[in-house]
Amino acid sequence: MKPSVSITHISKSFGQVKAVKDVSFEVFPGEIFGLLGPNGAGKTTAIRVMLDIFRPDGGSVTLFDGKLTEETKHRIGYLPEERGLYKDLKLEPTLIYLATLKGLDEATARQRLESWLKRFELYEHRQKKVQELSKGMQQKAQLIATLLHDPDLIIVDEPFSGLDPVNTRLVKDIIEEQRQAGKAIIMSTHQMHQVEALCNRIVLINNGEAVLYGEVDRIRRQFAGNAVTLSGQGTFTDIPGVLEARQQNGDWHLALEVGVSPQEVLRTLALRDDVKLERFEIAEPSLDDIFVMVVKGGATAGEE
Amino acid sequence: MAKVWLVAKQEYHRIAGKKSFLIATLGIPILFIGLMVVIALITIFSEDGRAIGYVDYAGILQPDALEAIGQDTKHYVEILPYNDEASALAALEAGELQGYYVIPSDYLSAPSVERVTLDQPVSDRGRSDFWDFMRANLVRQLPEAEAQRLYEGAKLSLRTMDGKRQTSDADFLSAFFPAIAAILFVFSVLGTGGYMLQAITDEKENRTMEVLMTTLSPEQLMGGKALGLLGVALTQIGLWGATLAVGLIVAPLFIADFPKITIPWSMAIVGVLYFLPSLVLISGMMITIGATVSETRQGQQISGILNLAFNFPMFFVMVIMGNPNHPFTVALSLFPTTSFITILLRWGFTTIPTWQLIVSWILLAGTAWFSIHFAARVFRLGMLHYGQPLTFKGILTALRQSRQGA
Repeated sequence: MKPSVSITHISKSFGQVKAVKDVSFEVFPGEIFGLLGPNGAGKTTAIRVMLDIFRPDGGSVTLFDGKLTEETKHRIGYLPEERGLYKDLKLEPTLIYLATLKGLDEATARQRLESWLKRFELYEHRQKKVQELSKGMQQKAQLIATLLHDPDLIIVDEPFSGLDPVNTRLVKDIIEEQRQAGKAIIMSTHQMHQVEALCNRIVLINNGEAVLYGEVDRIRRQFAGNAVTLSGQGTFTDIPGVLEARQQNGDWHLALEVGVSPQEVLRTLALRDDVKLERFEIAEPSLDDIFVMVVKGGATAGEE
Repeated sequence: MAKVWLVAKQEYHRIAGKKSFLIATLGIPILFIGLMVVIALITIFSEDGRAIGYVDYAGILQPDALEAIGQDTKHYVEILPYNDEASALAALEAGELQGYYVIPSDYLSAPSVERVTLDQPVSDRGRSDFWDFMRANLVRQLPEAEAQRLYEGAKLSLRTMDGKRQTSDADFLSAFFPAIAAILFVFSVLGTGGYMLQAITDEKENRTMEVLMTTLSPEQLMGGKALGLLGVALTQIGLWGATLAVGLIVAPLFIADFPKITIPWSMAIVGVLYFLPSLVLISGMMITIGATVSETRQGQQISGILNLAFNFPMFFVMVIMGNPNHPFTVALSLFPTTSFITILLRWGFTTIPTWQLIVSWILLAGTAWFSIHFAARVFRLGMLHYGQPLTFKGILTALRQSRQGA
C-alpha cells in the first residue's frame, strides 16, 4: 500500500533555532497516526512543513505520491491547534465558504453541511455568529470545516480540546469512522489515553527530533520493564531511580529512569520503613509513561 | 482564478456587511441629503413671498419693464408701484409689503435709492428681483440687443493658455469639483486600505490564516482580497457619485442662482487612472503592516502614520490651490503617496503639464507594483513567524535570505 504522506528527513530552522531535525515518517490510508511530543517539540512545525505553510530547509514531503498541488490541497482536511474561523461571520456561510475553497460546489456543501450540523447538534445555531458559540461548539464547527469536503488525509491538532466527555466520544467515533472509510489520519494530542485508544502507530518528536516511531503495541513492549505497578501503605514518592510516581485507582504507577531495573526499585522499597509493600508488578508501560521516560529521562526503545 | 473569485466575493460581502462600512458609506450621502433637505426647508420656510413696493419720484420705472425685455416673471415677487410714501408705508404696516424703495427725483444724476422696511429686512429674493426690475427699466430705452446685453451684465471667463480649460464666475464651483472628488477618492482609498489591514490582521489573530494557507497560495489570497476591496471601493464611490449627481440635479430646484457645474470628464478619467494604482499601493502597504504585526491594534497605530503620508497634501490645500505650479506642489504631484490627491487638487486651478502627469503616474504605478510584490514576500515571511510580530531587521534579513534562496 502506498503511503498518503511520506516525510523524509525534513529539517526546519528559524534563525538559530532548529525546530525540526531530520524527521521522517509515513502515514498510510486507513490508519490513525499519532504525532506526539511535548510543547515546543516541533510537531506543529512538522505539520506546517507538511502543508507547505513553511518551506523545509532540507528533506522532502510527498503527499498522495506527489508534490502538494491545488488538487492535493482539496484532499486534505486540517484542524489547527489554534482554531481559525471568522468570528464575526455566521456559522453556516463560513463553513460553506471554506468548503467551496476546497473545491466543493455550494449546493453539495450545503447538503452535506446540514447532516454534519445535525450530527454535532449545531443545526439550531447555524445562523449565529461564530463568536456567539461556546468554545466546544467552535471546536465542533472547526471539525466540520475539516471534514466537510470529505478529505482523504485528515490532520487534527488537539481535536478534543474544549470538548465535554459526550462530545469527546462523538469526535472519537467520527475519527474512527473516517479511519474505517480508508482515510489517513494524523492526530497530534497530549491526551495519551486517546492516542492509546485510537492510534495504530505514532512518532514521538522531542527537541525537533523523532525519538520514537512505530506501532503503539510494539513500542509498549519495547519499554516493558521500565515501569512498575505496586500497592501498599505509605507514599511511594521520592524513590531514587523513579522518574514519576502517580496514584491510579488505589495503585501506584512508577515510571523508571533509563538503566534502572524494577529489582533495584524493589530493593530500595524493601529497605524503607515508611512504606509497606503489598504488591509489586512489572508493568507494560502506558504511552504516558513512555512519553515521560523519553522526554524527561532520555530513554530509547529497547529490543523486544 | 476560481479561488481568487471566491475570496473576492467573500471579502466583498464581509466588508460590505460591516457596520463601520455601512456607516462610512451611507453616512456621507445621508449627511449630504440631510444638508440638502435643511437648505430646501430653510429656503421654503424663510422665503418671504410678499410684494415689494416702490415710489418713483424720478418717473423712470415701468411696471412691465421685465416682460418688455423678455424676462419670465413667473417666479418673481410682485413689484407694486405707489404714488407716495404714505400709501407705501400704510401697505408696509398692513403687512402687504416686505418693504419698499423710494427712487428720488434726481436718481439719474445721483443714483441712490432708499429702502424702507419694518423690523424684518427685505429677503434676498425680493432684493434680487427688485434689482432685476431696476436694471430692466434702466436699459429698456435702448435697442433690444443692447438692452439684453446690458441687462445680463458682464461675464468673466478665465481660459488656460492652451484653450483646453475654461472657468467663469457662473460655474466657479466647477473648479472645486476636482477638490471634492479628491477628498471623496482619498476617503475611499484610505478606508479601503484600513479594511485590507483589518482583514489581514483579523485572519492572523483569529487563526483563519492557517486554514486558508492550506487551501490557497499567498498570491490567490491577496489577489482575491484586493479584488474584493476594489469592488468595495467602487461601490462606495459609485454611491457617493450617484448622490452627488442627484444633488446637482435637485439643488437648482430649491436654491436660487445655484451655480452651473460642468463635470470635468477629463479629470474623472485621470482620477480613475490614479485611483487604481493608489488602491494597489495602499493595499500592498497595509498587507505589509498586517503581515508584520500580531495584533489589529498595533497595525492600526502604524497605518495611522501611513494615512498621513497619503493625506499630506490636505495640510497644504491653500498652497496647492493658490500656487498650483509651485515646485513644492509639483514635488507632491510626483511623490507616489501624495500624487493622487495633489493632482486632483491642482486640476481645477491650472493646466498640469503632460510630462508631470506621465512621470507621476509611472512613479505611482511602479511603486504600487513594488509594494504588492514586497507585501507578498513579507506576507510569506509573516507566516513563518506566525503569531509573533516581525522586526524590521528580521524582514530585511529574511528578504535577503529568500532572494538568495530563490
